[in-house]
Amino acid sequence: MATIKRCQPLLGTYVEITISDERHSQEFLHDLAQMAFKHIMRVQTLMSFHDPASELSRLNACGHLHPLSINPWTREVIAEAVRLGIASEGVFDITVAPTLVQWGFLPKQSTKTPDKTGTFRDIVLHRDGRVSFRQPLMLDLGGLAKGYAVDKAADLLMEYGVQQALINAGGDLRFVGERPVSLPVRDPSQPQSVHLLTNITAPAVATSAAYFANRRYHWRKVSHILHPITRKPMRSNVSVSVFARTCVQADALTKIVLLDEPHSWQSLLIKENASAAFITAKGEIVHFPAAA
Amino acid sequence: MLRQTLLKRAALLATSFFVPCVVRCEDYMSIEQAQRTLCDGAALRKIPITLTSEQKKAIERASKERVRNLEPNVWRSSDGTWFIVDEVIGKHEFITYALAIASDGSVKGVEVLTYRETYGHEIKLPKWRAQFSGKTTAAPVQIDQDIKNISGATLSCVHVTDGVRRLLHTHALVLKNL
Repeated sequence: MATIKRCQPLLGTYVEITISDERHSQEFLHDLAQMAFKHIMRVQTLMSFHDPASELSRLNACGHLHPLSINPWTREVIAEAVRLGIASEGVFDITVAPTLVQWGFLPKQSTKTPDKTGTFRDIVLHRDGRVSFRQPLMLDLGGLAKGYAVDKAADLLMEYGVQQALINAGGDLRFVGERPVSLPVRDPSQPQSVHLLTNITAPAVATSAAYFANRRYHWRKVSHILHPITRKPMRSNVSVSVFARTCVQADALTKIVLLDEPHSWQSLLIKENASAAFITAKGEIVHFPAAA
Repeated sequence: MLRQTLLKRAALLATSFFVPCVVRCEDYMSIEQAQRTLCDGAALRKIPITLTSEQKKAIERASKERVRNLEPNVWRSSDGTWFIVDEVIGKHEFITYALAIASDGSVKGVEVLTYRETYGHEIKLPKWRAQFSGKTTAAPVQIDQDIKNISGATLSCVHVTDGVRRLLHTHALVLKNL
């Protein structure tokens, strides 16, 4: 069975693409992988907060002045973020960037930082596809764009009917074809070790962890885990892996699970047909729904 | 004289405890495969080059990155594309990657060739191992060659990004003029 494994630095992390297919040559699989990487590059070009030339930066600069036509992919991500914002009653909010800029987690933009009264409810998704803001906002799609990029790459590979593939963007994964028996997830206290999660029932998984700023390890925080309403950062040393049908859902849901009240995120996970596995600071694994 | 020898021996002994342990090891592409992929199969010629100290300083000033290798591995194709193989070291990772630069100085592509993740001697010390005794839940498994496709903390690719920036300045200041 021809198998190839490629890796490129994208989305601020290392993106690995593995493709196995006995019907095709290695050369063809490499071409497919390159096409999949191009999709990921496209998400980066459109939605990078760090790139002043990205479409997102343009939207952040002008969205409150007039509606903007944006790429359907960008609109899809914003729409999904708004949907989850509503479903989580504001715990997931892509407009928290001003606080993150103030704390130095995100770079300052050339435009004036909006004040913090805006929320995702000030985003207007026009029927003609354009987007505008009811007041100056600063959107940061870092909470779900990586998962979306993984989905786009996976969709492309599925269109080509590959037998088996795996896309891993810095820990956000999507399986195409057969799923593995176990999934290694890094221990949040000792990233050189992993715990093996079993019973992988969904094709996408994302893991978020709110570590102490520990200089011994250089692991970047997976997301700048900040509660949009209390404006308090996550501090406990736990990691959560969310399994869902799509990686964009899994990516966003990890933040909601880490920040929200248990009864709230539990009912949301059930509604989204997703599940979660926690690794505590002591290395214990806790499942939701509880393992049968 | 004796003190110098003793100090030297002590230093050697100390460094021997810091041999990094390779916990993860991925080989993605060979140099030849990367050349075919990034340079569209064009024929490449290896160009031997040694940077002068002025060139080194100019690149460091422009890129704000240390130049550790005065003899970069570079190839040039007939259409002016440059293909470079470089290494970067992070706190726990050692990466070899390939960068193709088009004749206009733009990036044609970047491919990671090999990835090594290492941790220091601390994982061998008894105190570290003692954390795992007496646990009722399964102790974490140390990553080794058999552990693949890991989910978890996002490892930043900043070292490769910084390396690419340094190489782009190397191209602009040195390679372009060859």
